[in-house]
Amino acid sequence: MKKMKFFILIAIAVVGFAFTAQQKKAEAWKIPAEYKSMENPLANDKASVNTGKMVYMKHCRSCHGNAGLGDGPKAARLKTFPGDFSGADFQGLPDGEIMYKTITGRDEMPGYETKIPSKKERWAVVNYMRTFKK
Amino acid sequence: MIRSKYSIQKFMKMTFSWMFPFFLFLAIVLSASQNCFAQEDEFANDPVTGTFESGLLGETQTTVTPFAGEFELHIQHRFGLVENGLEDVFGIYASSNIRMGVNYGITEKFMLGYGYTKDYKLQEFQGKYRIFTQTESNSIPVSVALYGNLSINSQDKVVFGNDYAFSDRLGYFSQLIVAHKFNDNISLQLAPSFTHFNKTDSLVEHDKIAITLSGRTKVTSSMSVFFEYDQPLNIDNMREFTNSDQTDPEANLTFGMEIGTSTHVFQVFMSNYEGITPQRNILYNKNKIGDGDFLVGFNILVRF
Repeated sequence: MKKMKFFILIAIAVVGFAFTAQQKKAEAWKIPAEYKSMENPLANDKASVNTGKMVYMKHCRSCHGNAGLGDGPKAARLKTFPGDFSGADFQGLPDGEIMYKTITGRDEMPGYETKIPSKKERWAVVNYMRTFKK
Repeated sequence: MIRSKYSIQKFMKMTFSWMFPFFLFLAIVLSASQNCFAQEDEFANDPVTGTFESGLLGETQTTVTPFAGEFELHIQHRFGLVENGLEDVFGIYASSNIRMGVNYGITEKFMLGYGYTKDYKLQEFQGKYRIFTQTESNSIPVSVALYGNLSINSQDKVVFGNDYAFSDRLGYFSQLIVAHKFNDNISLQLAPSFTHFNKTDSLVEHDKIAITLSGRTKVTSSMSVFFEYDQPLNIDNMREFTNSDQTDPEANLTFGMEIGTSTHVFQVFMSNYEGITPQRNILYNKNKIGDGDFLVGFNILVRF
């Protein structure tokens, strides 16, 4: 009987692991040309970083993590890895592209057009995400 | 219970005698003090966002309304007074009051809502309209909103006495809310209000004007502390009955903390008010600040 229970437990574990979805890497994102070349009007505004931090902590932190490593409390439940904002891949993107992705969203990431209506705050979040650069 | 001798004239007289000049003065002062810091950038005329985390701060409304098409679910809970200490674990095991409600943003500036409150079986309908929104440059120095609440007491009609009429169940609350966001961390608001009940208990006035001052300051990027002070104006020449000062409602002090996320707002606080519904709070509060008649309350707001 003990052997039977042991095998049942092993079987459950194997089946469980088999159905555990691994997080996939995000696919390429088509960005409208106007956003790729869009200038950040707050590019040199250091004061905006604090505003951006408040917006990030309210709307983004739960998935993207405190340091933008994609390790927020909700991240593990997502099918797609939320991305590492500290790496060269992300930090090499133009500001306009980061702003577009942040506000528009896609798939599991919601759009923030209504929740972040202020253009100033949208650029401020981009400036805050720039501080994640390693 | 006694029916009202409607006294809207008193309210109008008071409004135009000192409230209007006061708010005009406030607007001029704020405008003058802020214009020197006005930003000359492309965001100058953008509306200020995040003056408060949500449309509710402790016991009072703020100038914030839900986005167009957004639902808000409110769960508001007030425990009993903390005065009994460990006997009822500071009011946690005492009788409590609960309100559940839902608000919906019709437009960016206008919301409607419905809620029900356990005490007095109140059914409420409320609306809020944001008239002005403060701009980044402070060319409009304040956000201004109008809030109205109609409550229907749905207890058995025996409660209302022999000459019962449906209108006896109704209570009204209207408020002008003026708020200013000083910076990312500090916001303040002042809100005069007018409360009217069609029928009240003996020697309780039917009308009451009150002033609410409230504010919040952020302590971390997602957590704030806040306060609220409500003062009913118990003015002699506005009294409905002689000696009604014996039944004057008490002022309220609320203080607590708030955590806001993208989809939720949590507020935990101490307060003198136990009615949840504003008209009950303003007209019937008997808990005194000086006597330490405080209770613990919390508000949970879910956006979807």
